[in-house]
Amino acid sequence: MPTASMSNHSAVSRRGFLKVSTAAAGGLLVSLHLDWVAIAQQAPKPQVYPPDAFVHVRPDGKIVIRVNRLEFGQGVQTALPVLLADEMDADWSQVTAELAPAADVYRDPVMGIQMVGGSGSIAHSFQQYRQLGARTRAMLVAAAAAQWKVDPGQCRTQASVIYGPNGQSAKYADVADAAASLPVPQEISLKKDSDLKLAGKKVRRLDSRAKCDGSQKFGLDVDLPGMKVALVAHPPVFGAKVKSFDASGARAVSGVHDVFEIPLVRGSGVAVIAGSGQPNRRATAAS
Amino acid sequence: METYKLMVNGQQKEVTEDPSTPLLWVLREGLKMTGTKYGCGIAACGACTVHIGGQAARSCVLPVSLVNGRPIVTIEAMAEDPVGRVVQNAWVDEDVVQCGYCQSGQIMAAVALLKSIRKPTDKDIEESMGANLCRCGTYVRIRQAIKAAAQQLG
Amino acid sequence: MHSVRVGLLAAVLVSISASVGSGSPRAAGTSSEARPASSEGLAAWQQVYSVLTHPRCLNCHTATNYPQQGEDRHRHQFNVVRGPDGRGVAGLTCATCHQGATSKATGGPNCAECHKGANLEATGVPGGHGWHLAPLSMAWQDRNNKPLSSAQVCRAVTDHTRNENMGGPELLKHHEEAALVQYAWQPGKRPDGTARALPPLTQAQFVEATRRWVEAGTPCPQQ
Repeated sequence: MPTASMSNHSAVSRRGFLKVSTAAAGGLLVSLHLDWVAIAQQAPKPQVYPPDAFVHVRPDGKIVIRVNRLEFGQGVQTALPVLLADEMDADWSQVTAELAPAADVYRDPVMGIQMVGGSGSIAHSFQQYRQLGARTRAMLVAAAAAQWKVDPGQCRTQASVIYGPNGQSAKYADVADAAASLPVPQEISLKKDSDLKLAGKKVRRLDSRAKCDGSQKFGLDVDLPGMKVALVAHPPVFGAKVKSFDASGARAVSGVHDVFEIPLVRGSGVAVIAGSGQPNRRATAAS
Repeated sequence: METYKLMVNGQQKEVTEDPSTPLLWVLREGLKMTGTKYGCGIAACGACTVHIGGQAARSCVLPVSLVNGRPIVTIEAMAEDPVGRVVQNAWVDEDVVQCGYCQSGQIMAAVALLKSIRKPTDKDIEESMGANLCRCGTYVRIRQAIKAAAQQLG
Repeated sequence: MHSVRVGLLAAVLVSISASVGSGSPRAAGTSSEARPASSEGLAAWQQVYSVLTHPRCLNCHTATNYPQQGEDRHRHQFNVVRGPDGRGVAGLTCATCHQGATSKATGGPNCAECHKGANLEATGVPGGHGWHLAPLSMAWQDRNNKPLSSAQVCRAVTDHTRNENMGGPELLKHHEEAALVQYAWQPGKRPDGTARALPPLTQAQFVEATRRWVEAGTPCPQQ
């Protein structure tokens, strides 16, 4: 975790240093040395992220927050939306999260690539998501204030509702369209930490239900039209190479498209390509 | 290739498969029901747990030719099951899941346990659930959720 | 051809032993009192004993609350336990992993005659019909997993109070027809693809030795 003050840290070159060392067996071992600590301690470049790429306030009141990470149990699919929803004064019971598709706007603000790892999700996106929440709130309030012809500063928000100075109220869902057409405010201030209601408190994960009813899709569950499946028969010893193989048994299995030797990180294996997994499994067993 | 009539979650399904195809792949690929997971393929992890004839069974080692008409129930049916629903709610309340990959199997095993022992002790839970592996280590919350579900079921 | 001869021999022997058996009163307890122990009978028993104490049988005839696995008879992985009736516990019965052919009807004659099959062999998980542990009364090892002596196993196997009231003919039938006994000679491959070891006799030899032992009045060694 970064300890030094992030804003005062001098820029550190992110170019890796090549470390060359000789392995015991006499070979050449080249490893890439990245100064992770220095990288982590860099402040994210200031950038105004467009709320409409991260937050969708639906007409039915549901708020869908896009997470620029992968969720694999570490909880980021809940944690980042918590930050955004807290600043936004969203009704948490109406918040769902989805994982962002591939796009430049979802790059890690420090690493400059779209990624998850290095314990960087909260460290690098903490300010980003709070600012997104604050900007979204500001735009919603501005839209309502414009309709009521009042000063936005006279409005307050709570649980997805804007309250005007004279008893007016409007749901976020009702002003979302108008808000979306407003310019994104450049300067924005965040809540005091003591005003945060969700962050730092126990919040239930957003992905639980789908993971309990079989609907959550994992990598192996993806099924695209015309998709092929590859299985690789690995050598029984690391680094071994295929000497020869007889593909005739595998090719005889119906559904098998191709069988070929494939290089691995070290050594090689035999790949079997089929239209679905099952002919593949039989073919791999056969080969 | 043979044609098999399978009773899955109360519905009659017909599949054409090699007799040695494990039920797991018939469910996932033949019937596109991906809730049941592949974790090891050798009945060692429990991610593939379904109910067959009311008993927990690991579908990755069971050739479809051995199902022989016994009713199959998968995770997809648990929301409609009186015990399954309570177990799922307990899982959500206790924040059991992390990555979630093992949880279909965990829930199927837990439902089988609770249908047999309404008030399981710690020992019952350990013995019944101990062979459902969780790489994220959610075991403590699984135990809590089973106890909460047992409480709820009364 | 051989099986026809064996079958014929079996029919003859069973009818002999049945007529002999019905003539002499059997006391509850060992049958060695029914006739003098013949050396042929005891030799036949030693052959039977050599199979009973092979890992394929011993692994489920345990004195503990768990089965064993492998040629080295280590404790079965994953802490699987005996459960209240030797079939495991709710959520983790033996059949959860070790599956075999069943028919739609419960019970009935030997279903496995027609409905053959077990787990997918490529997985290395053995299977069979009605997989379960032998009752504790049929443990053939002590609680330290040491196989019992020939005399101890013989006494256990012939004790009507321990063996579900099986006499000689029933023991013979058990050795010949029980699905899990038959499993011992078709144990499938281990996960690494190697074949599991078979008992020291073929099943036919085992049944034949059992028959000779039953015919001799199921004698047991003295100690």
